[in-house]
Amino acid sequence: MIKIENLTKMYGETCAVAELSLEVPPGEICGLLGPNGAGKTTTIRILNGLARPTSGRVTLGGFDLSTHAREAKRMVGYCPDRPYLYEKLTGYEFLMFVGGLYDLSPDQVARSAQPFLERFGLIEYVGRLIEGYSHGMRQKLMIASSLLHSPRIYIVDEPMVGLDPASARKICSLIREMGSRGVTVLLSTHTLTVAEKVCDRIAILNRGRLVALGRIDELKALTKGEHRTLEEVFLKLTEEESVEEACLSGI
Amino acid sequence: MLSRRSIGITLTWALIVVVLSIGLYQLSCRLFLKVDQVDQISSVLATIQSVSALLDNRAPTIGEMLNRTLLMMFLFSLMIMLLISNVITALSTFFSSEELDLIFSSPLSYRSLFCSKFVETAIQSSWMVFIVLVPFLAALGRVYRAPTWFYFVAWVPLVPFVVYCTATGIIITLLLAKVFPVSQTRNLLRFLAVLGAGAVLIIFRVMRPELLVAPDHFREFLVMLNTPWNPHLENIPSGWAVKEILWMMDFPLSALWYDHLLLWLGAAVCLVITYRFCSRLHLACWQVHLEISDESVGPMIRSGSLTEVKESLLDRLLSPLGIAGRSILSKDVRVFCRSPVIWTQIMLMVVIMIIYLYNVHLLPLKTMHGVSPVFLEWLAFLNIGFVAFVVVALGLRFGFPAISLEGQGFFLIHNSPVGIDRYFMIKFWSNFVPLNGISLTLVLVSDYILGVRSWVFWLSILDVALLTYMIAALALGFGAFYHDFKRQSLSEIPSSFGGMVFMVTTLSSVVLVMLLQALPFWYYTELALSIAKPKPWHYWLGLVCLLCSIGLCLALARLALSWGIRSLRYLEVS
Repeated sequence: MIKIENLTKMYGETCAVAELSLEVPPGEICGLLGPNGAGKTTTIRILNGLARPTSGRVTLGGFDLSTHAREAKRMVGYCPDRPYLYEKLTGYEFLMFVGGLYDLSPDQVARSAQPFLERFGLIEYVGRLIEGYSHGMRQKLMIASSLLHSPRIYIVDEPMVGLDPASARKICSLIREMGSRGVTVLLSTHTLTVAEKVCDRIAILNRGRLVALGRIDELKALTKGEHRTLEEVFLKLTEEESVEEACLSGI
Repeated sequence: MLSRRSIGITLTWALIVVVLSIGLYQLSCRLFLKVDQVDQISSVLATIQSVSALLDNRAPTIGEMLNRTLLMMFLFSLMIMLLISNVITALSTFFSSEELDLIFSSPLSYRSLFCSKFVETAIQSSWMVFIVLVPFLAALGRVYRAPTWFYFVAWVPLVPFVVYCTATGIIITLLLAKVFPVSQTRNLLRFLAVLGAGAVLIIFRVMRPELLVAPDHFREFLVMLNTPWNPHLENIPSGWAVKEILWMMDFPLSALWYDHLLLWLGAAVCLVITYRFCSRLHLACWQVHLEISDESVGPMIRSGSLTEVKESLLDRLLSPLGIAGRSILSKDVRVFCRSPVIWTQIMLMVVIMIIYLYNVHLLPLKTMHGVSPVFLEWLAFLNIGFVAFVVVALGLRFGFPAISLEGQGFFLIHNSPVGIDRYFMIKFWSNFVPLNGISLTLVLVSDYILGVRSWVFWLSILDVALLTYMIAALALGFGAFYHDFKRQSLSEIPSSFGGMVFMVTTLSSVVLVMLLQALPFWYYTELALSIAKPKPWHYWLGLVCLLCSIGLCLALARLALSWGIRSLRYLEVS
């Protein structure tokens, strides 16, 4: 469902993403991990058409993003790490606006949004201006708005930031439900425990390159079983990559 | 190290400021000279002037008194605007600034905070004063042959003048913030700002300064010089600043010793009082400001079911635009209507338009002798240009920022299947339709007042509609190219570099279109005033020039729209 082939993104001399190839089949929840500056957000922005790749190809649901962007975007739901909302709209009006962008009628938006708002406890606040919402409420509204059109592919960047434990748990269970319904999910997160609980497979990026890809047990096997938790595996893999690069550059 | 782009932008800014300053200097020189020579217009005034000089050769001339009064009035108006501007700016610098969290939680002394915030407020609200007043004062110096050193220090009395305005503005802001939360204060003050500015404009128009140079209104003119209003102008900071400037030129009726004291020492005392006031109240008021209002607007979700919410009137009205068009436009209208900044801008524009039409109404066309239809038609033709300038100002205020005001939320549109082309055209039509309504209203009402013939009437409508189409497209195109999604202030975006480039380019385009039509109009005037009949080539010239101006408007609009769409399509959204 998500197919990334030799994706490269250069910002001047800096290589943000280098020759990334990744395939996520339908129904799989793939975690995208990496230290700061690894290229996760750049990759996600390219997948959403918010940035142009220097080279490579991205296919979403069978549609090439460079030639059939509109068809690809219809299938994708995206939730960014920071919820940018229109402060002077109410939650309800914001949902209607986003739904309208995907050609959903007000009835369709209302029927689609209702279960999410009830689940996140936002029903009583949906008539208020967004400028009065807390960060957590904005994040939940953002998630609800990104799911209105029932996307087949869901790309989410750090969904748990600013959420209390109960809300974070609800988001985790929502993502798992989506995976079981056949939705392809690409989840970028720094929270390794979330990745362990939710993701079927994990891709680890470091300095723009894919350094590891597989299930948790497969990743542990890469470190010869020396490390028990994903955090230890992650640190080991990213540290080794950094040391190798440092050696190569003569530092 | 500065990049080439930064250097280019800075140099362009400097060039624009220099050109505008030179223009303002020239206009001011003419104004001061005209007023100074008012006694040459009327023999009665000349007689009074001669008698006065005989009695006291140091007595000021009528022209000098008039220019002094003009300066007093101008600086008084400026003081009102500055006061209000400082109150609004102080709301941002003293309450909404993001760094205040860090500063208040640090061991920094309040004096350091106050000094930096005071200077920041003064510069942000008053920098335009210096850009406008420096050429104005230079013109005054030139007309009255001031000494050379005057041109270097004429701006100095403006410093305590600005200190007075800034200090008073800050005190008013804190007093209001003490009473209720800052989010409401801003709404109230913005309305007050516009009402105040509007009141100043209207009062100024009611005072009818054209009487200053109309000897037919001699009686009103003398009354005006001696109105009770004048003494009040003398005893306020603007009056002291004017007298200080005139003292530097050895002007009659300039500052006495207590005027110097009130200006300089008074400003220092005002500053100290403001510091004391702020040191007691600022922190407490800022803590109250952090409380966000719990406002509920829009449809009430009483039953807890979204499906039971009724469609609003706005959505019903916009439903012919399709789902995507309706959602984009209804979002824009709601955000527009709920933004107090926009409402104050609209009120100011309405006041300016009323004054514009009032000025047209005031033209003494019925009392002037020998007013021919050709003269009225020239007025109507020039009116097209003036209306176009008003539309450019509206385009800069509302059209140019339209894309930038999407803010960081622009990713929602870029990420959606609605398409940049469709989104851009929806934005264009939603800007063009109200602009066209305003421009056609202005031209219809002014042509009705002027009583022009029908062919001029229809030509005006066609011209204004085409010019508005071009201006709306240029505003959107430039706004897309010079987008700034991080700036959310409606006052900052138009005054950016892109806004200036838009204004210069659009005004030049309007002048070009007007010049194309002025040529056949000129020949028409010559024929109308002579007994010659028009030749066939006159008609061809008129047709060709009309078609060229139509083509130019449509071509520029098309270019601007394509350019804007292309800028957004290849935009990388962060």
